[in-house]
Amino acid sequence: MAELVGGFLIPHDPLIAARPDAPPAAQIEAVRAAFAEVAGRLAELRVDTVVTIGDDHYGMFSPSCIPQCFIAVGEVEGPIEPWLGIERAPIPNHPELAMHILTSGLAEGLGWSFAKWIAVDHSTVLPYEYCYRKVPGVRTIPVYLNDGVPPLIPNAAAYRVGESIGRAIASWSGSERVAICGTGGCSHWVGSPQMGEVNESFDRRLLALLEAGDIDAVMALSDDDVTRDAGNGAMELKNWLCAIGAMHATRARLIAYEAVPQWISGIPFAELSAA
Amino acid sequence: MSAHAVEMALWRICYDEASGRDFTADAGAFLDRFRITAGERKLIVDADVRGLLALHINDMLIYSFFQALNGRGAAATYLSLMNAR
Repeated sequence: MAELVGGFLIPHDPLIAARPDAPPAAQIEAVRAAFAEVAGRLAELRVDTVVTIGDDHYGMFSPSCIPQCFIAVGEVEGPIEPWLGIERAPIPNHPELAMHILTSGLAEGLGWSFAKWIAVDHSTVLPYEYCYRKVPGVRTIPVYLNDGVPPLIPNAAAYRVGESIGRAIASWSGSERVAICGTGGCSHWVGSPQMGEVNESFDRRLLALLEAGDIDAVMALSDDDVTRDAGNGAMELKNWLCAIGAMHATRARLIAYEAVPQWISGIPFAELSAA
Repeated sequence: MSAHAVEMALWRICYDEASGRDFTADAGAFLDRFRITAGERKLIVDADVRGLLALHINDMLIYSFFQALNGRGAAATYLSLMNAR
């Protein structure tokens, strides 16, 4: 049987790729080292497939269709943003396992949307380029939650999507060793008047809750409060809750955190521990 | 309701190359395709980012629209317009 062997929280900030030299050298090195540590853990855990939990930034999906939870079950390529400076190319998916996650979730009543072919944005491509692809042969299954276009997916629903993914992996007949990554930043404002601010104290309180294992407190954060204190981009904590749900994680081990105004975001890295 | 149509117009300008070209060539003719008010139409033509925000247009989409018109290096200008008093 397949096994979910690890879970991580990692950034997908596009400016890491688009403006690589903008922050102070020490912060650039800290982020590079953190990506390397996660890639090292993936290798140690002999991971062959990573489920990437990301979110659209109102580029992949238009106002004509905005899925609450979405999975790519076929061909994937990206990034859609030429300004990232990453060449658009195919990204290896695991279509069979992705389809199993989809059909298992649908059978449970989950409202998945799916694509047989999709061009993805930086929330899949950046983690792949900077982390997973350092591990030879790793494939990634892109999952997108609606963190960006209200009404957003509720925290509890994001967690339930994760639980469903976890059950589907456990019921897959293959021998895959799977990791799940909840991607995104801590505080950041995208397109809002406060863009460029980072609320480091909010970020550190949030990460401390995860380190202490107070998942319920994170789950209870309201969208309005998070948006006010940490910006629209901080809604990406829903991606984290999805990964936590998949792992039934009880706490997180902080790998690194950097407040990087030049990249308009708090940049977190953590490893999840299962119950 | 027509704020949704404003978002559709902005999205097409940003992410559909042909629409972006059409908007650049003749903004009025392009916007005739959408059921939006005269006020909304003016906000788009003027790239009035604060006005679009006041209309509750999605922040990320407003920023993408501004970048589509002004390039990736326009963040400082965007913020000064967003925060103008």
